[in-house]
Amino acid sequence: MTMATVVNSMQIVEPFLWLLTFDDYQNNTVLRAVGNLEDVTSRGEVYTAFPFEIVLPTDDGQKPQTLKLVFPNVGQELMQLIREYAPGLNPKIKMELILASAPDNVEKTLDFMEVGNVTYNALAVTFDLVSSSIFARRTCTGTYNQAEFPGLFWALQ
Amino acid sequence: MAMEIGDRPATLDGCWATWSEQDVDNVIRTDYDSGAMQTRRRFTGTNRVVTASVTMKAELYSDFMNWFRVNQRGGANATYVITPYGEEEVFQWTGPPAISWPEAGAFTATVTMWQGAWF
Repeated sequence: MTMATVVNSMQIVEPFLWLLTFDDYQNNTVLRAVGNLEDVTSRGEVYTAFPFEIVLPTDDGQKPQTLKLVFPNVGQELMQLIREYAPGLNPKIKMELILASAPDNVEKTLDFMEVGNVTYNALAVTFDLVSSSIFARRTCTGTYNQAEFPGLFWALQ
Repeated sequence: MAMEIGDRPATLDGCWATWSEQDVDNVIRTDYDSGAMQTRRRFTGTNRVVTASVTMKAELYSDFMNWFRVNQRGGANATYVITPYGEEEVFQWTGPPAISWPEAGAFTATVTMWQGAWF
């Protein structure tokens, strides 16, 4: 069953599942998780059941597209990964959307994101994912105004 | 997901006098004014929540409480209990047992516990 068939039905019996792959290339390991209640095997790799939330960006065409991933931090499974990372070696995160009935068939892939910022407390870890292309990120912005750039407005004075 | 199991004391059989359970709802439902309902299943697998109680003799009180406080590390670890259908299964208690003493020689323990799909 394809995704187009599933999303247009009144009763969606096939869960959409997000597969998450942390490419921890600094430690030469890969962490795999699935937002599901039980483990999922996709293309020969086992994705461990691990609850997380995805906060999608507002798609208004004005802001760079960023994602938030929120994980529970009660077990502190991700603390070592976060603390060991050196500046500039941000972990890469790949997200893949599958249907539970066809785990080997990836319907959507987001593989251009990397971790831009991490905040955590005792209960939750929040990853801010940004595009790995610097041209797609928010950069410093400014406005030319009359107070700071009076020379540009001399004709109006 | 790895999970440590707290042993049940040998003096306790793990059986319960009452047992009520419900699956955690796994489906998102949308109601329309027309009465139609659109549904979407979110996950595979099922999480169960159970409330069970048992009445025991007073001399088993310390064993029962040690089962939770020591062996289960206050609920951090799961444990084996006996279900009404006779199977020994892994459950994790969601909080300390509620204890009441209906009479001096016996106590009643009420426990809420859950079983994840990956247990």
